[in-house]
Amino acid sequence: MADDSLTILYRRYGPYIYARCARLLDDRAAAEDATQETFMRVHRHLQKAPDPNEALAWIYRIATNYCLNEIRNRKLRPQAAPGGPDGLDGLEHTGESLETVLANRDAVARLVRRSSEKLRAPAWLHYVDGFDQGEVARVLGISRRSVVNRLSEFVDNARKFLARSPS
Amino acid sequence: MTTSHLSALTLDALALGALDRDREAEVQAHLASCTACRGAHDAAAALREHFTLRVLPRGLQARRRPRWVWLAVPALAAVLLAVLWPHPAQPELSDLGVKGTASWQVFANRSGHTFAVHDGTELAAGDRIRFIVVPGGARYLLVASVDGRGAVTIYYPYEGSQSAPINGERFELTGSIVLDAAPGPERIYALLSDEPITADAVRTPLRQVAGGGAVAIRGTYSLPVPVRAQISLVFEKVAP
Repeated sequence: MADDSLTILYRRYGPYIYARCARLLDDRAAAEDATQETFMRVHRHLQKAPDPNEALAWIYRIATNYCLNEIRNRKLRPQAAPGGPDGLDGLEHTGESLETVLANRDAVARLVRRSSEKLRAPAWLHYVDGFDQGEVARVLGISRRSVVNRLSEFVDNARKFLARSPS
Repeated sequence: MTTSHLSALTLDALALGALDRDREAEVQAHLASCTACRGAHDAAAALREHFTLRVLPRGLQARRRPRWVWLAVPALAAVLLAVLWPHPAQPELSDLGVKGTASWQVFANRSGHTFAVHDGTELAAGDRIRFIVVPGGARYLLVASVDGRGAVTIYYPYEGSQSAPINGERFELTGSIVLDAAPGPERIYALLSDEPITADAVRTPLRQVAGGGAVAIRGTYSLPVPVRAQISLVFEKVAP
């Protein structure tokens, strides 16, 4: 792709990639690096995506996966999550219902960190970003049934974690 | 929060102009009544603005490509900036033109106050202008201008070599233009086409207009460029 085309794409979509990464990482310096990395991964898709909605779906898919991996690998704290070394202190046996915990963005972010790679992106998009199941399916390029199953598995895991005894 | 509020994806689609008219109206209505979503909307806009103003120039300069040096040259007539002011009330499509007919609306912002720009509107250095274009079915857009000092500028895609693809019934350019102090008339042309046109094909007739001075700038409503549609508007830059 010509540099001019790259520049146009970067100007048009860079702000959206950056905003996405900054929200995920809660760290502007890290978001700058993540934006560059995400753009390098996504630009070929953007070039082929005449529909901005499709372009946004690619941006969200790639940026979300990249940043959640960064959070896992670098121990970055997502969205001002409090807690101890794993950011989970206080979630167990709080007496709050699962529904209450799942409505708490920070609490979900902490639970997402300890989830498997398969569950992280759907759980974050649905419970933290507020996507409906159709949006999650579209962004991740998976079926709605898969979204339902993965969210259900995430909830089951969360329920088990919240019920466990503090160590 | 999964059902009662707008998702980040929806808010980004709104900012990109990627929502259809009905959905956009729904989202705007929700934003008008939901403090939380309006906060999320504003926070996302602030992040995008930060990227455009602070991060993007560094990223482009880091590529060390001569064609990108313009970002560091203060003498240029204008600098592309993020949208820095709240969105004005979005005009209905009928205000802009019927489907199939290309049209546009130009807004200016001065010290936080946003107003529509029409032929003959007086603007000043530092005013920021931005555009909403109804392509009328055209697939590519190039916006260029000639000002009172004879300077020719490609505004969209900024300093690009050819017109850029556009989508949707209404296309809002993501950046704004900060006006410099060149006095007198400045005419801006939107050239809509089915295939890309080169910037050079537009610069040449614009320079001819510049050669005719203020009278030619005020009186040249279209350029001899084979495109699907052209729109132009002239404003007058005066001392603030």
